[in-house]
Amino acid sequence: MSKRIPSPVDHSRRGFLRRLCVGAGGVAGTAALAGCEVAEVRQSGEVLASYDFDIADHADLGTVGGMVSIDAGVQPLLLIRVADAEFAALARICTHQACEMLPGSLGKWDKDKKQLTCLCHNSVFDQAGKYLTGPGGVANLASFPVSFDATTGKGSIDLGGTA
Amino acid sequence: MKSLQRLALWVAGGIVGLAIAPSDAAALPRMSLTAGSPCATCHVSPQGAGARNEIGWGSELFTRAFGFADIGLPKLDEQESNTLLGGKVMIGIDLRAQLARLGKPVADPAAKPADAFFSGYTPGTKPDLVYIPMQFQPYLTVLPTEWLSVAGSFNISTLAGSRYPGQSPWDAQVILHGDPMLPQLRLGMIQPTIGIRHDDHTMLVRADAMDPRRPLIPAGYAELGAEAAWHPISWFRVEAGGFTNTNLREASEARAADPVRATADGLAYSGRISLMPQFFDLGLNTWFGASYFGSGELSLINAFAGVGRNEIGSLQVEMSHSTGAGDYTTTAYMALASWTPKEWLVVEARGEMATSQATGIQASTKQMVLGVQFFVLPYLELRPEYRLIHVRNESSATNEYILGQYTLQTHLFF
Repeated sequence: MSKRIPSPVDHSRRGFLRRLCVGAGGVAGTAALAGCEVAEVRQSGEVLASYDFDIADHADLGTVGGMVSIDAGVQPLLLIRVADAEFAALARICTHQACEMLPGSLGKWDKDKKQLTCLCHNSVFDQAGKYLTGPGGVANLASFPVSFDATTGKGSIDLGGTA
Repeated sequence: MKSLQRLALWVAGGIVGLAIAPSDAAALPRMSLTAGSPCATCHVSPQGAGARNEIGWGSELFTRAFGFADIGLPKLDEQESNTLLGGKVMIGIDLRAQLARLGKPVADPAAKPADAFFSGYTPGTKPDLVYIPMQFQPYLTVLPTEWLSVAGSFNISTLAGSRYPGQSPWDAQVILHGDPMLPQLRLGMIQPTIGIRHDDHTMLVRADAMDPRRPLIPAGYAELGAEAAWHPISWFRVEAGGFTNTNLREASEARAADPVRATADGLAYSGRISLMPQFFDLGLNTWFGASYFGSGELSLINAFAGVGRNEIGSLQVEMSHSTGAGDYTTTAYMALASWTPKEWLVVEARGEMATSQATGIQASTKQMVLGVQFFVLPYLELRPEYRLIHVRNESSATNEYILGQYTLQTHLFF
């Protein structure tokens, strides 16, 4: 069962250098052929400075812990009622594998822990978008400041700022 | 030379230290095509992938650019086997990690369309480059008799939450392989035989254009079930199996459209037929065939063909067509060419495209991958790749994007 398998590989110094050159050349050649990195988008919507909302338009925001999906121009967001007069606006695309954390589908807000979970792979973020746990090496979610007037029920998301 | 040896050791040590978690038991169909041998020649499972038998282990020991002797460790070149206890027990492991950008580019408010490389697009912000632990999977195989194998593995990385919907953290199988003229039987937590078993779970023939990064048949997919394989002559093989559909349902329910839509645990069925004529005068090995996999309202048909020649390379093509609940339809095509200038250096290029539709959803995805499989040292592979993907999905907030990126996979195996 345990017979020695003879080596077909040339162990001479010349063979070593030849393999080194061919191997390095292959890797470098691939990189050269590959061109450069590119990331481009074509989206409907426009770039907005801010996005105004009225909780009367979003029944799910009527109670603390409610979460809705909002397309603020080109920005896909989650708007979450964290407390009576406190809202969080977070990017809706998970930074792990780009799953879209739609409420009632892949996005789950825990109102007690104040944490957002992407149900694709269980990446967890806090209300500021900070990555907490889940698959390793995940970046934070973009987070935007939200102002809210409890008397009118109206608020605004500052899309140019960082919460 | 000493400094080069030290550098190689540092690189290998660093990779061991970094590769800590996972995803799939991999298979390289090109190896079967170029060698003209079934997957079971080198793998414990007749389906291929995962634990390597003594022939597979020995083959990989000498598929390398540099031997252990080249880096001052000649004793390691004298290993004789991956078996223990007189050949009754085999051990193995796969550790993979990938450096890549995950996710989609997002709109950059300051960018202008005129700055884009592709007409009609606007430069976006690239997703972060992250180091992704993919696989940390030890294998154990016990061979109590000549006609019985018991094999299992556990994907340790899934304990840390790094798990795809539908991915099984473990697999285990009992393989009955008596008279070669009779069917083999696999029982346990196993992957149904579907088309070609590739080692890249992002292939669109196992996914759809709506969720190209999260295949419907995920990495490490397995279900409880049984499958019989009959390989009475060298050029003919047929498999048929029945399985639970627990993990398939989980993968399906996590998608933009759920093609299975089974509300309770049910069954999944698979069948594949393959013809593998060899043309010895030309030195060519070929296979072609088709498979069916279905559960609930999902029906997935794969058709595939391949041709390979030892020391030159291979060409594989595969298409899949699936239908499911909610008018779900996906059609995907894949062509993959490999060139083997050296046994330890393989250049691969593949192109893929998929179109999908379901109620209210229309999506198309194209992907091109160019890469190298560089077997640097025994049991160490580096896989640099360039990946270009174009996604258009009417159901997604990021409607359409193009992402081209370099990736690097490190793979330690035994």
